[in-house]
Amino acid sequence: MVGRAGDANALQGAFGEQWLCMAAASWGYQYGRPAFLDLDKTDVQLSLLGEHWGCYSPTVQIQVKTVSGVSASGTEISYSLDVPTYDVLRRTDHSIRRLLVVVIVRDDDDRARLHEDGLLVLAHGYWMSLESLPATTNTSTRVVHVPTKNKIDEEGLERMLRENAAPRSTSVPDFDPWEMA
Amino acid sequence: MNASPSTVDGFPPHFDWPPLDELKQYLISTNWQETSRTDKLVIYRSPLSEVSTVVLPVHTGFTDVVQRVYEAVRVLSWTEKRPVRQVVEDIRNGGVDGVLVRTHPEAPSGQAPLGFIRIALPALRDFIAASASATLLQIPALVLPNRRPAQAESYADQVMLSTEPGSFVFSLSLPLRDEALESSSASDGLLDLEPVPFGRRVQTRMAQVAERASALAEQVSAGHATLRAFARMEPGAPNATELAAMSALGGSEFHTYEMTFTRSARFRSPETPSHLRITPGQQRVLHEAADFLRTKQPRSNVKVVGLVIRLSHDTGMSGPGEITIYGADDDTGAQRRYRVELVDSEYQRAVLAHRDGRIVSISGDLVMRGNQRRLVKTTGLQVMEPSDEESDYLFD
Repeated sequence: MVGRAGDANALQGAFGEQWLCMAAASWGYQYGRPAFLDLDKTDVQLSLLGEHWGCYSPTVQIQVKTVSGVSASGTEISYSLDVPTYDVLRRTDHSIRRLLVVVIVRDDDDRARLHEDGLLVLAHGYWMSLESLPATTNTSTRVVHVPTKNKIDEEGLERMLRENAAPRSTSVPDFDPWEMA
Repeated sequence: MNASPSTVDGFPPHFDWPPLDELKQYLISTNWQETSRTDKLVIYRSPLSEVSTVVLPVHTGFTDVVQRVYEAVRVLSWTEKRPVRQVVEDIRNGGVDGVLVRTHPEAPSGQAPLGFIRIALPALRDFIAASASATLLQIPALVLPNRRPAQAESYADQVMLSTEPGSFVFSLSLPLRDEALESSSASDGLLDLEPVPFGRRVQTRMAQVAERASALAEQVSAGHATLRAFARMEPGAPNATELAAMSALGGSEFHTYEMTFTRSARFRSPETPSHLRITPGQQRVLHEAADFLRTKQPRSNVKVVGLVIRLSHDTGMSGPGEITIYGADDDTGAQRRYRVELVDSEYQRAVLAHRDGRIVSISGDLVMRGNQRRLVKTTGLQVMEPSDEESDYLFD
């Protein structure tokens, strides 16, 4: 990968977000960024249209962290989360819950492979809620342990929303008064 | 990112989103139904749409209250078919109806030359004031009195102006209610006992007048009618001021513009807003029609002030007679000749005024006979005392 180290990190982060959005979209989820430019530790918002599990338009907000060189063979993935993000995600006063998703990419920058059937995008993702976790005295980072049973796959994504989603106002297009003419 | 938590793409920083409790009051007042509640959220359903749902925090102690408010306002905008800004203004100010005018001056989108604004902005206000006047007047008039009702001017001054994205869009927010003007006798329907708010009446008139004026102008342009069609006294007939205002909204070059009308959900009316497109040709006709009404149509209670320039009678040195006054009427201010028949005593005073070069004034109904302007049913000739004000009356 060419460019400066900072650029590489930014690209890796963008890749992780897009991977999550693409995976979610492929399983029927609506994705996007919250309209407010102050993301407050929210990179991606995922929703399901309509009513599911008694919840109207179930929605979660997600902070995505993308890492490489991490093994997911055990029951947990240990990730060093920066303290500001940890403090935001552990709060209990978000009306839409904020979750952490860790996206693991390959160490060798191999991100995508073209197959006969299509493009294979290489990554794994795992999610967890930090809500109600205790405050930390650390000043820089705090290690969180993301369960590998919370895998970003079709079943895992549904469970993520079913267990954590909150209802949201109907997603509507922008109103254009001149389209009514 | 460290942007303000109230910064929303497409809106200025720190846009004044309505407080949570005001938004909830608005939902209740417009018949949204609370359908469920959790420890964090309350859900409302729309009376207008089965698919529209608003979800709000139960209190303001959550970090994302403003975002939830924003999402709810967007739903209201889409459900009520009006811009977000007007919804916000309605919530904050107790009800507004909207008039949107999209103009197309020769400028990049979102900009307009000051020369265009100089013409269009006063025309917008004139339109509102004229429609408010017409709403207040007990007797309909195709030409408004020179002095419009003070309440109409006051109401026009309350209307808020903003712009919307596009080229170049004026957005007018008409207060639904004016406490000083609410009439307990106005009613919209047989079974509707609630008076129609004054602002709704004004906006309804503006929409009706605009539709009618546009249709008449199109007929005249197509040769299917003459300007006299504008002189028919019918419900919703536009007055000269309204016509002049509509003819000016495209600027001095009569650029095409569009109008649409949006309504507050706080008060239901049976009529639906209309969308109109006013072409350059229509604007030219409207301009001519305004002039036609002001100069060719009979008008009552017109006052003329000027000099007596001609005297005529048939019975020697005494008796009634006819005079011609060269002066201005109190509506157009244009200098013209007016013929007046006077009884003996008034005729003699006119003779003296003519001899001494004194200014006279007289009121009556202005009628056209051919190309002659005549005042009939006059109330009495007044001869003004010599004063510095006479120097104001300069003639060609």
